[in-house]
Amino acid sequence: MSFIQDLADYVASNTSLVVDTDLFIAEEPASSPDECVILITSPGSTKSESGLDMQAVQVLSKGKSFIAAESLAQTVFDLLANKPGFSGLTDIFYCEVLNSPFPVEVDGRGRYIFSSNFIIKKK
Amino acid sequence: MIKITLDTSQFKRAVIVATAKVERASQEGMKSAVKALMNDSLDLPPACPRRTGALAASHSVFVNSKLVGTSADRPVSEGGEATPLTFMPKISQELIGTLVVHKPYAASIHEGVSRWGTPYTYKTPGTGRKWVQSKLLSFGEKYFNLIAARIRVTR
Repeated sequence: MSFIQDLADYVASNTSLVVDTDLFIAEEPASSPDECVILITSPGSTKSESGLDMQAVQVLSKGKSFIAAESLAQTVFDLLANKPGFSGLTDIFYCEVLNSPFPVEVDGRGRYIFSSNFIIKKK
Repeated sequence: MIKITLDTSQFKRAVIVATAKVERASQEGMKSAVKALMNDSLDLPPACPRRTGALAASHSVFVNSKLVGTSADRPVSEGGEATPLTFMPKISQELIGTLVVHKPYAASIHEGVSRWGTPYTYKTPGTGRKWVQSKLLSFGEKYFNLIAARIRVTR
C-alpha cells in the first residue's frame, strides 16, 4: 500500500474522519461534504543524513465556518505534530511540523480552507 | 613577594574584532543563501508559476529586515505588474533571512488551492505549488553551507 494511503488510514483510525467520505487523498470529489480533509504529498522530498526519506505532506482542511475548518485542521495537526513513530505504521520514524494550520482561501462553495504542512521521516 | 600582571587588553580587542568579523560574514553568507533560495524558487522545478510573470517578479529577500535583492528584473507581460516588497520593519537583532512573495494571492497559489475548491492548475511546464517550500527541503543544506563557507574564510 502507498505511504499516503497508510497515512490516511492512520488519520481515519484515530479521528472520526472516514477515508473517501470526509477524508480524501490528493483531491476531493465534487460531492464531498462541507467539512473534509485532504492529504497531499508535496514536492521537494529528500533523504536525511541518516538515510531516511523525508516526504513533505500537506493537510488541507475545509469547513463551512472558519471555526469548523480550523477545528478540523487542529484535530489532524494534534494527531500528527512532532510525533515519534505511529502505531501500526512501522516505516514512519518521525513527523515534523513545517507549519501549523493557517487560513488560505475561501473556495467556490464558501468553505474556509486551512493548510498545514509536515515532513514525514520514513525508511 | 612575586607580582604577576597579565595584560589581556590585546586578547579582548582580538575577540571583539573577531566577533564583528564573524557577524559581518554571517550576514554576507545569509545574503548569498536567501538570494540562492529566491533564484532556485524562480528557476528550478517546481518553479514559481507564471501567467503574466507578475508573481515571479514580486519576490524580495531581506537579511535582518534589510533588502538585499528582488526579482523585479524578471519579465512581466502586459496586464501584470511587479510589486516586490522593498521595506520591512525591523524584527530582530538575530540573523534572519526572509523571502517575501508580495502578492495577495501568493499564499493560496503556493499552497495549491484555487478559489473553486479544486487543486490549482499550473499551466506553465515546470511550475507548480510549493515552489519555495520544496527548495528549502531539497537544498536546505546548500543554503546553510553558503553561510558557513563565508564564516569559514573569515580571518
